[in-house]
Amino acid sequence: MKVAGGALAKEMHEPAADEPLVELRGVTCRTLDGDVILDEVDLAVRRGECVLLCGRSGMGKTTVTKCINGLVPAFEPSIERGGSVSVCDFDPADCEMYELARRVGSVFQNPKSQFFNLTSSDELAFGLEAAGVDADTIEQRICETVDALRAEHLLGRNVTKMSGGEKQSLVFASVDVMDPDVYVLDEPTANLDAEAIRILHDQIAAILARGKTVIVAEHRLYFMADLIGRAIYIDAGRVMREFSPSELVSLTDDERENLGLRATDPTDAMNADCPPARTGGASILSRGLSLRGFTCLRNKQQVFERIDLDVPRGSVMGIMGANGVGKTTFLRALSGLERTTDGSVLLDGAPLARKARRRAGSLVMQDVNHQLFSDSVRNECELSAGSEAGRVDEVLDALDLSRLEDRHPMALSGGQKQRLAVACALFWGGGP
Amino acid sequence: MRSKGASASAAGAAEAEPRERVLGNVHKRGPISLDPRTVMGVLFAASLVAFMPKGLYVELALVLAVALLQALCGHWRMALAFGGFYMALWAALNVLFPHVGGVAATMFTIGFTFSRKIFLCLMAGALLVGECSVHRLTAALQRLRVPQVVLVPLTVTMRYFPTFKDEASHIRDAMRLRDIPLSERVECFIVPLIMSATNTADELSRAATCRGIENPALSTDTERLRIQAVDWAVLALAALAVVAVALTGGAL
Repeated sequence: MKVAGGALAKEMHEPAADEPLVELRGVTCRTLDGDVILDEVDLAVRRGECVLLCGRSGMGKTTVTKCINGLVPAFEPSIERGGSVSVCDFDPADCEMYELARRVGSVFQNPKSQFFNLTSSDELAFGLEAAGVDADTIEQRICETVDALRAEHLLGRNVTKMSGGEKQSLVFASVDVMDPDVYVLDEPTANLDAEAIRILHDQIAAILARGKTVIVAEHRLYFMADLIGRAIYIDAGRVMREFSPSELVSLTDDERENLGLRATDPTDAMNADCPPARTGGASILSRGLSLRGFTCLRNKQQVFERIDLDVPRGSVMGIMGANGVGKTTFLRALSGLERTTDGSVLLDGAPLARKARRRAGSLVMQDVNHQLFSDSVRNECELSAGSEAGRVDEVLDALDLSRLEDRHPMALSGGQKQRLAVACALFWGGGP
Repeated sequence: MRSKGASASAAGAAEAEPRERVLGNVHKRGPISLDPRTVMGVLFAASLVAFMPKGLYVELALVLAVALLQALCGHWRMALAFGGFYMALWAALNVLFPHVGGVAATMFTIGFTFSRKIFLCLMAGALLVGECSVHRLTAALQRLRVPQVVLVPLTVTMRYFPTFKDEASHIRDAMRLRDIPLSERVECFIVPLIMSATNTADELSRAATCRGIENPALSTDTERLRIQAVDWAVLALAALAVVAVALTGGAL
């Protein structure tokens, strides 16, 4: 009762328009081992602002978002937070999470693990349902959200049959139904393709137009470049620089590289300089991979058109295409994971059957969590290395993993896990 | 002239018509649709009857009655399948096994007799699963005052099944790509599975907490469950059947 009374009193006091809605003052986070994750971070975000947090992975972007949405300290007992945080006049460390939930909405990386109901409409209702809002009001809020985000197609669906992009749209819409003041997005595009990113971009534009406050931690600068008011560059747990959108866009490639940032311009991101692939010539490569009339069959139907392709040893080939055209299936078929394929795959002129392809190739999957089996980074590499165990140090070093060799693979950050999966793939590339 | 007027009025109707209800929409398949609590009642009655002695005619009548209920709810295929299954079961027990004899028949007889005993429960259970989404079921249980400590794990378990299937197949693929010694296969399968389950559980609970699942307020019943006349009728019939079977005591 006391808590509810306090919340009510706080709600009475609406901050003035220019007063920051979210304010971090001298925020320091350190683990119980004494590692400093955030070091004296100051950040003030006004109502209606859109702020991008950028920087290399593992440098503290996500921790800043967690300080705002209350996951630090509620879900991180091993992180000690110092300094003061104020979000809509709440201190996240000092109020109930459900009080904060009405004011702060959070969207996370992985669309798969953010929904609770198997039907989309029930999912949209989830937050308000838990708050005990009456059913008609919930219904009305859902309709408003769906109209505003132009997301009618999300209603009445079976969530397990939705694509990753649709799921993330649904998560975003379910957060929006609660009508929070502050939206905290932690790498929301990490698992999305170009089309889904565009949709998310438009949804963020729609809530900004309603005067909402948005804080995004993102690698992909281009996705937000036209929406943000400013970008905060975080490195080694400190706010190092602040960019205006125009400064961010006018960074040269070298400067961007030094800061560890990705391309700001979508056309730039696609503007890799590469020669067109060699589609199958008359002769089979004697040093490299050749495909002739290769396709994958499911229910006796070709998943993609027959492919003729030559990839010489030592070269890199990119495969592009819209969602659902069969890029993943192609790679799975090539790796020998699909049951029925047609056409031929030849390595150095010798045909490879399905089982042989599994041995000759290696695959880094989209969700690398599925392919890390061991209990430490070093053991994981040794499991793959076999007779090449001597190269483990060299490969770990090359991928900047050597200082993490005793860590459990699942305790790594997303980017580090991916590098570990790549490291394992490097050992497996020996070929027959 | 006439068609123009008709299309104009149709457009007007479409504008005036409010959007179809979003929440608690039940896709009505057959002439009647039941509240989940009613189907739970039928399931309870079926469990009671399973413990009572009853003759073939009574049993047949009960199976037909529940099959009729399934069909009325629109699950006619389910009704036919259970009908056929019951006949096969009866034929096997009374015609096939007495002729064949032997150890195998005795072994199967036990299993088949047991299936026949709980047959009505299977039918009512299938109807419950066929009729209700997990969300609806949870809403019904909440109305029946089942405590949150039971409800939340139940919902999360149901929610996790599809994910589990996905994860398992991905891990199997990843293992096929690496030469994993036979002795380590089980470990290599279980470890990532548990890891991913733990991760999913952790991420889910973060997301749930950030959306206020801990709110002590009673959550809204967006399914808007209501016991209607037809529900009362079905419940009354189920109760009547239990009493009747108890009284006749297997005489028929």
